[in-house]
Amino acid sequence: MWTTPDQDPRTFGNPEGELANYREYLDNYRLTIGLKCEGLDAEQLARRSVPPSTMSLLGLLRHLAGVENSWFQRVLQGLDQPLPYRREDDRDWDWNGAVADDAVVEEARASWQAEIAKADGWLDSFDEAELGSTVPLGDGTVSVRDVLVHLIEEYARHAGHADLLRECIDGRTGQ
Amino acid sequence: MTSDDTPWEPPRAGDELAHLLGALDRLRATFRWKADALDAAGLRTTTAASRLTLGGLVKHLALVEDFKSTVSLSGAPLGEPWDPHAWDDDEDWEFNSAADDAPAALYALYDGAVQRSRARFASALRDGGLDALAHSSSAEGEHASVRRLLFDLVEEYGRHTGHADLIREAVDGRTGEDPPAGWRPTSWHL
Repeated sequence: MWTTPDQDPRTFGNPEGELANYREYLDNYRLTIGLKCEGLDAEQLARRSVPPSTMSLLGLLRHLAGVENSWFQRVLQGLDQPLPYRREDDRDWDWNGAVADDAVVEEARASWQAEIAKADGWLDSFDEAELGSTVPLGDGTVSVRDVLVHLIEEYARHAGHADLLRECIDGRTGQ
Repeated sequence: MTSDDTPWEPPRAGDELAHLLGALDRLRATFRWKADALDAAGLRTTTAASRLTLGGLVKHLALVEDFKSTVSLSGAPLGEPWDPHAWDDDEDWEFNSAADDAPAALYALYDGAVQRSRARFASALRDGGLDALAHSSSAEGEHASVRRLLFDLVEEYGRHTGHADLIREAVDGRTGEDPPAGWRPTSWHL
């Protein structure tokens, strides 16, 4: 269901403080992606609606589960967890495995939400004063701050993909 | 690879301001690359059922750069080269009118708007930093911070670059997350 303004779960405040600001933007993007995927059946969610791109909304949900896991669990906490939807024989399995099947859709939604919950749990206990602290990434290091800003960028860009994918499924635009 | 090859990469570990401006500049470069070096037909191409074009996005983001750095930031008028009455009959005027603009004019408009916007925000940040209140306010009179305006720009760029990703792939197959090392915008004036 498309929400009316008074039912929109997103907040558009002017939060004070750096971490609160990052979290508000991130939360609103997660909600935006969720809204873009609402009210569609498995075939619509799996449809590659903007050819020649192979992106679909279902593929995007799977991809974002991997994004959340990669940054929050692996990079920021250094946990060695299997990356969701990563297969040795297909680096794009998140997109390529997004087939029109209700069970695949449910699994993808649950996986994405579970990663968000884990990420938020970590953020809840994170001390804003530590935003400048660094963690290893590749052959160097990266600050927590840089990871959070990058995540907002990445979500915004994927929301742009979702805009066009949704418009080309059923004409829905906005939000 | 040196930083000279990828000047758009933000710092690995800087303060809040360095990261925010770094993220914004990387998105500007990425968007510019996604829209770059096309002829009029390329800039007018639509994909699937959407009416969005790369030319429309170039003109829209030029407007956003100028608007945020004048009306929103300080309350100054939008200024040259915009005509404030251009939207009187069409609220999407910048998107729609781009189809009539020459590629060189579109790229020059965008590059000029980015330069102006960078200078205006730099000046405001020297005066008051990220916490300073901008002119823009909500219906209740609550003013946005300069931080908030810059984040709005990051968001807006991120999202429109997502649009550009899909349109550009349909135009000529160009895909990718960031510009290749050594890339510089093509000038249609040369």
